[in-house]
Amino acid sequence: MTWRRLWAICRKEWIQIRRDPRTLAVVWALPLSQLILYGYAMDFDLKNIRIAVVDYDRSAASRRLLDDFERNEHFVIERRLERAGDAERFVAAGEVRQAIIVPRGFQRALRRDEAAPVQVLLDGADPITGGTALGYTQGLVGRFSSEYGSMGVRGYGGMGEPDSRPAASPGSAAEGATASALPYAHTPTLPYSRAPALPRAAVDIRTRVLYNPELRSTNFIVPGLIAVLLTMLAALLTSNTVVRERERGTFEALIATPVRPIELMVGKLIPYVLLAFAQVFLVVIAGRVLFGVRLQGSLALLAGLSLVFLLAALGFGLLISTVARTQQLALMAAIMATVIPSMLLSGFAFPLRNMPGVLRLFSNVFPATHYLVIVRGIYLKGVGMEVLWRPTLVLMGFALLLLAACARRFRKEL
Amino acid sequence: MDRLRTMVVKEFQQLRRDRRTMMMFTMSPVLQLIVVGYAVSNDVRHVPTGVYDGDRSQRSRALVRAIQVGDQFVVRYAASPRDLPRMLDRREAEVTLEIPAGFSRRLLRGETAPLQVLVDGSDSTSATLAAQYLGALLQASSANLAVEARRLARAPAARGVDLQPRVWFNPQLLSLHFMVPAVLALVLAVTTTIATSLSIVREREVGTLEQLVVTPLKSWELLAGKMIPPALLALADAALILLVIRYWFRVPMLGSPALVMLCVVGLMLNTLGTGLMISTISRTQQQAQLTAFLLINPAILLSGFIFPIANMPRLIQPFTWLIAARHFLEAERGVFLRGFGLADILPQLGALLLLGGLTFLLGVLRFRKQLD
Repeated sequence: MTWRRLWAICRKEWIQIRRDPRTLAVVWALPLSQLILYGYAMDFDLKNIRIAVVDYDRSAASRRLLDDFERNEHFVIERRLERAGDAERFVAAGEVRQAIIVPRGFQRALRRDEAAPVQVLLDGADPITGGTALGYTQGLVGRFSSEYGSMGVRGYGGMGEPDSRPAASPGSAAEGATASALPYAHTPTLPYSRAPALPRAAVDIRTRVLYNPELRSTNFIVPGLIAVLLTMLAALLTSNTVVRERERGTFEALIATPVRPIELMVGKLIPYVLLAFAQVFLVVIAGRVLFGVRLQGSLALLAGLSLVFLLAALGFGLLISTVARTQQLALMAAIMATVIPSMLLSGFAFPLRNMPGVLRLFSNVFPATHYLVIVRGIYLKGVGMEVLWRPTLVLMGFALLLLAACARRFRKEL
Repeated sequence: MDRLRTMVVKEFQQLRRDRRTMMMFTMSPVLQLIVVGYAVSNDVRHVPTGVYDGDRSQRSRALVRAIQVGDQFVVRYAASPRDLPRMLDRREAEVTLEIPAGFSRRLLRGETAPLQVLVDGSDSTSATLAAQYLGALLQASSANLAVEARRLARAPAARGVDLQPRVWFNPQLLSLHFMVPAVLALVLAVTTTIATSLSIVREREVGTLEQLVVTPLKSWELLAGKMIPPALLALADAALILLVIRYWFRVPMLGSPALVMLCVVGLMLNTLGTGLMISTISRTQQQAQLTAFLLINPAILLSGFIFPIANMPRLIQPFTWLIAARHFLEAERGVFLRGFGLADILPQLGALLLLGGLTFLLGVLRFRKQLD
């Protein structure tokens, strides 16, 4: 391997990149545009859920409950209806997401300390929105029932002490307190069946959220996007480098030169590594400026480990390029092998633990899965190598393996 | 008609010989069904949970047992409370629970007994959901403990509001039922758009498009001949996918399959039109593919496939009206899950027709101009 030949290949590749406007467009437009698109579109925090209400009780208590819905930022009361049947029609037509039906005798039951039923009719077709709406409802109603109880409408003669404190709020209320804090609220026992009326529990669950205390979904999405974008970018960049030369017939010309396979491979890779590496910083800066996502850990560590990942990801693209017979096939393979896996199989948007065992094993095949652990670890948890050594080793293994495979393919063809 | 038939036969032959395109038509439905059917789920299952039980009483153990019922939480004990945050650091746990010493004693005395829950907020969607579930489970089981405590103290149990949710259309709130039907849109968008644009651009690249132009083929016959084969293949794909959704994933279909197929045809008008458009702005197959990719990706994102449109910023929301997949998904999910009839989905069908017609018209105009 001589530096002169390596340098020559690098320069040739660089010139080719510069002359190909599409590639440059991909490099500059893809990460930023996708970052903006995903950063803004992937938001689980629901606002303005349209609801319908039916108040059969027409009492002070029922009005207070519905006022709570009115004032809540998550809900918009779209309709106030007379009959439950009308509410059902609006839910069925999809005009409102849920209907709240307060039956007659609500206030009386509350005053007598009996279970006061409130019906919620929920459109569950979209389980994400539906579950979230139900979570918010449970939180709101829980808070209502704790406040109503602690207003002293009816206390606990004799015992007094345990339940009069707001800290010891009723069962559904503590649950409600969590629901209000968590953006993606969705409570387990309830959706499936009628929830039992929980007696007042004297347990105070203190939930503390680490790493992302405000639970902003962008804090979670943006670092993950770095992994997704780099994966796609890397594969798109290198997947056509070799096959293009072969299609155009310039590959023979290259073979005729004294360049060695390893020089050819490394030389082709270097410009792309630099280009993709610049994107890491671009995305980090954009994430900070556009979405206010702060890097908790060390930038140097992130950069170093990103480099390892890029070698693996670009090597993968290069391998595709040496195997594919046409540019078109190469591009197709690159898209197929990176976009879906990095977005859906890597744990980027959906937790790996929900997948069946085989698929979970399979997800380890993608470098993005491991890189995602690294990026999120450094970005949000601020951890270092003491935690990240394992995914780092795996990525190094990937990089070596892929580059060795590429070199082998090169040699064979020559 | 004869000419059109010849053209269609030629295209089919080319398709048959083109293993890649055939692969796309066969592999893309299979892959997407597997991924969407098995990987796309936010349900709370197998959540690694770190537990430190400082109370070591019968009641605290009952509490831990309660969260282990079902497959939602997998408990791992920590040796000391200081290990709990470390477990989160190392991703050995997504949530942790600390039961402090004296928990059950305080509970039985009628005092408030604190429990400490730590949540890994870095994975905000899944971990917070998990924390939510955990809270509810703890609350329910500790309620039992509290009832016991009150019985001992002879105090009445208050009840408060009893929320009775009824969930319609997807009573178990399964993501599967919502996600899997959307695979149809994905597959159609990928296969027909790419196949159409590539087959036209290829002829241009190879130079055979000129040859076709000098034959007596009229330009509409040329275009129809290009589109009929991928359209037929995609229809077959769609029918097959419907069967898999219905019988393999067992997603109930309340409406009529014929109506779903009608939606498919409406969407196909759009995807074919887009393919044609792309072919008119691309000189090489590679460009066509990249353009298709860059168009399809955001279109899927903005269609409401995974992320609810209502959550998007106000500024972005109007743009989703321009995306055919959005209307398709609304109609298709309506037919699937809500049992919508033709009258219910007329607006969506109209939108598909309008958008598809416009794309098609633009594509045809541009294509003819380029031929002249």
